[in-house]
Amino acid sequence: MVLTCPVGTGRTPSNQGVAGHSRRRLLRAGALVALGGAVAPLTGCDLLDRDDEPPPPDALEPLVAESLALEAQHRAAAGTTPALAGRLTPIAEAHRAHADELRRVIGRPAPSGTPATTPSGSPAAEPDAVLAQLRRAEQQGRTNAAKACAGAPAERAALLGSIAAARATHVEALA
Amino acid sequence: MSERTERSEGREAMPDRHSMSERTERSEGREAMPDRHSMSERTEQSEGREAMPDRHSMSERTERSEGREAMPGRHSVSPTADPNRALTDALVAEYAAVWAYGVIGVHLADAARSAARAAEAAHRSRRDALVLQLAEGAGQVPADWAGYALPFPVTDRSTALRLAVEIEERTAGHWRAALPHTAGADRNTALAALTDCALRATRWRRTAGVTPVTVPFPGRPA
Repeated sequence: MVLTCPVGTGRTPSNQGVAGHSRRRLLRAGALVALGGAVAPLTGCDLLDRDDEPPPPDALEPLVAESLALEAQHRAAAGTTPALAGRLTPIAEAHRAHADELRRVIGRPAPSGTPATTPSGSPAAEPDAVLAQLRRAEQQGRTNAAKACAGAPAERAALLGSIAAARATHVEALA
Repeated sequence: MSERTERSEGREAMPDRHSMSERTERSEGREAMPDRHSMSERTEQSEGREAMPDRHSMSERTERSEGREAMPGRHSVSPTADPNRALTDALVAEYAAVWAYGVIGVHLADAARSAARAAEAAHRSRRDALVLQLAEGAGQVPADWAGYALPFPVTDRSTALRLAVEIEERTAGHWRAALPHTAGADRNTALAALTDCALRATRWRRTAGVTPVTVPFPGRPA
């Protein structure tokens, strides 16, 4: 946008007043146009993308997140405490399988198989302390999965029951 | 139901309240695990009678049980319109589990034998609760059998532990299959039973030295 009207300076006090007023107007108009330009595309997107609007979150989404978090926790512990890797890796894989199956049931496939990143840098921990922490996490997970199973529609009850039972066996396997 | 009930008459009374108490007495009497002699008798008895509810004998069983109480295998998790059917399937699995632990126990010693005894008691408790629940409802209560065909010969500690794992996984499968047909307290009971079976399977794998000791989806048909 170009300012094409004359911008008088220092002629008469009255002229100055007019010029200043005119400049403010122009700037204001420019701001409005700029705003409009910014808003219009957004509105356009909204209208065009209405079909792709994300569906409301599924009741199982928190369980997917929890499964992935448990997987990451086991992989991290296996990394820092290699002596436990043999026990922890199958459990991490089970959590990943749970997440995949839950996402299949929800109808949202896993985003191109990105393995959980193993956080590094944590100092090696006492195996007993590691196991106790993992047991607590699994116990909480078991409770959450059991709650989900209790309130689930019939077609999801069996999967959620298996996940709750699996987490219970993880507590046992980590003992 | 009728044919099977007839068949089982004179062998194994329908497990109503009366016969339940008889059963309990009987089983208390043999609380000391049956010895090898009585075990082999039991095994012979079961030959050619009733197969363990498993996946291999499904087709045969389905034919045989048409119009009666089916004895489902781990694959028979197909939805059924009848919620009682899922529970009767679970009951039959519990019958078989109680029976199988008699076989398992004689090949184990010390802590493992105690664990087998505790597992048998747990399955008996689930069985009794199911019998009561089904008897109070409108559904039929399937009969127990005098014996069940083993999926493989059980001759020593190793095969006994393998059977224990197998029994728990199968029974877990039947409780898992009951979950979609239950709600409220009944679903919680089914989930608790599934979880208990899965936990025992895990402990048996550890006893047997099998790794990993867990499976990703307890009770899910393989």
